[in-house]
Amino acid sequence: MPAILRHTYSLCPVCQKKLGAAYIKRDHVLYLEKTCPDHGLFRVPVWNFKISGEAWRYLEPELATAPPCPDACGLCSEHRQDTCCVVLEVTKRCNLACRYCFADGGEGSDVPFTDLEHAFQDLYTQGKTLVQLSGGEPTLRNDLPEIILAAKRAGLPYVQLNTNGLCLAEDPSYAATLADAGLSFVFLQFDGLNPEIYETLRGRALLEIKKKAIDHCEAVGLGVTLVVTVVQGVNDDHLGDILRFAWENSPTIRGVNFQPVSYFGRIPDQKEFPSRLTLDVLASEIERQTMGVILAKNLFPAKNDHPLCGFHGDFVVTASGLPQALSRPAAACACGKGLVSAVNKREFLAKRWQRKPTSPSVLDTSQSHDLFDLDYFAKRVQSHGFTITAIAFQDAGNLDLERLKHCRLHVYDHGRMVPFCAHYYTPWRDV
Amino acid sequence: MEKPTKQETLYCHRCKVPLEPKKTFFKYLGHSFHTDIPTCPKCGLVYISESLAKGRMAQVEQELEDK
Repeated sequence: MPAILRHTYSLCPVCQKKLGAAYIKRDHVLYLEKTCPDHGLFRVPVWNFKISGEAWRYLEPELATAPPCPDACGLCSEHRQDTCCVVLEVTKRCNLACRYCFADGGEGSDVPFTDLEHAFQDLYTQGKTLVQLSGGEPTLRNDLPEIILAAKRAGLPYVQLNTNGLCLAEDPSYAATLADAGLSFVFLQFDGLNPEIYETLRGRALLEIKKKAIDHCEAVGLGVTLVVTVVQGVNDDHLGDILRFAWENSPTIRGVNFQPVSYFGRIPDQKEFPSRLTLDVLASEIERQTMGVILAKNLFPAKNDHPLCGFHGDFVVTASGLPQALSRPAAACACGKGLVSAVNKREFLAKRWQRKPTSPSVLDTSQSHDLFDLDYFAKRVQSHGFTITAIAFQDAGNLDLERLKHCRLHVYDHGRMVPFCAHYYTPWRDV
Repeated sequence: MEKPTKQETLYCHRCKVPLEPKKTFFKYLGHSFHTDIPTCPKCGLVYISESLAKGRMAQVEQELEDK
């Protein structure tokens, strides 16, 4: 018997008409369902109950009327969350032609340097202090070091590079140049440890290039977070391998950010949507594929997002080489603070993603590594903190305007802060 | 009150005896830690300095709080 769990609003994926929508549980699967009078029913799975959905339920009162999203995005007064991270596209050009690309990069022009300078000043004035330089592929710009310098000069403490790593791998001195300019940390596209994965998703074998890019970042103390586009049937069986590689390369690798594929940008064949990889499946697979080293119960819905937008787990890589959970289920609600502000989240993520100089006491194998020792624990977490995060981006199929109101990941677009999933929203041509 | 210098000796107000460093255990959000804390050898009262409370202990608390 189908059960309606919640009402919300969405759009028709084809004509963008605003529609009422509902979360409906059918045979142990939760779907977002909506019906367009012109284009019919759309039913997209959002939860498969591989883990309990209780902590992931959104508890605020239902929307009484349709919100102005996404037409008014930029942000409007009804938006419920501040900015944590700002994505700033510096070019549309790319040196890969990936089959899967959220940003649909490849051809196009660079954003004028003076526009970027203005953007950095604007962001600083608004107190939005973590900027991700994105694209296209930002490293194709010869003036990238100057761009990073300009961001730092404007007063932004955290400058993140979103990259495929090709240029970092090609020239060992390039990472040093970027680090000297003030680059804080790197988001490296990394889809697995099997060359065939890259051939399928990116069009060429890139594994050795990725490893070289990581080596070059390590040489200059740049922290790297691996960003994984997870596609069913391509690399969803490789989550454990990716995580093991990541924690074995701590502290250079600061964590892994999983991004189950969503259908926007240059994503092939949206007709595959019935087989979406939902967050609960992702979390349970992480537990299975790491043989319980990472437990699903240590991955929590983010407190400052809508719970269906992602999860996070906070760990420390111990001297034994394995990660140990810092946030524990019993502790997760103990502080009673409710929502965590975007500012707190930003500072926390920046602290984790940025590599700190490691003190000898946390590396010296001759000493005892007693994580119960207050001093050692504090130093070890700073040097070997490790995060596992996931972002479930919304697309035309599963767009929930209530979720959109809570977005904290914003794209800077000509002075406007646009929620990520509204900015990259891509209508479906047909279904 | 700041952390006492090496020359200063802390006394237990009740027992009138000097405090001695002793391994002391803390619990926070399901985790347990220890560090040496000035402790009264008679009644067991511990002295947690402001610098410890606002320094390492606060840092560890922040690391463990849910984000």
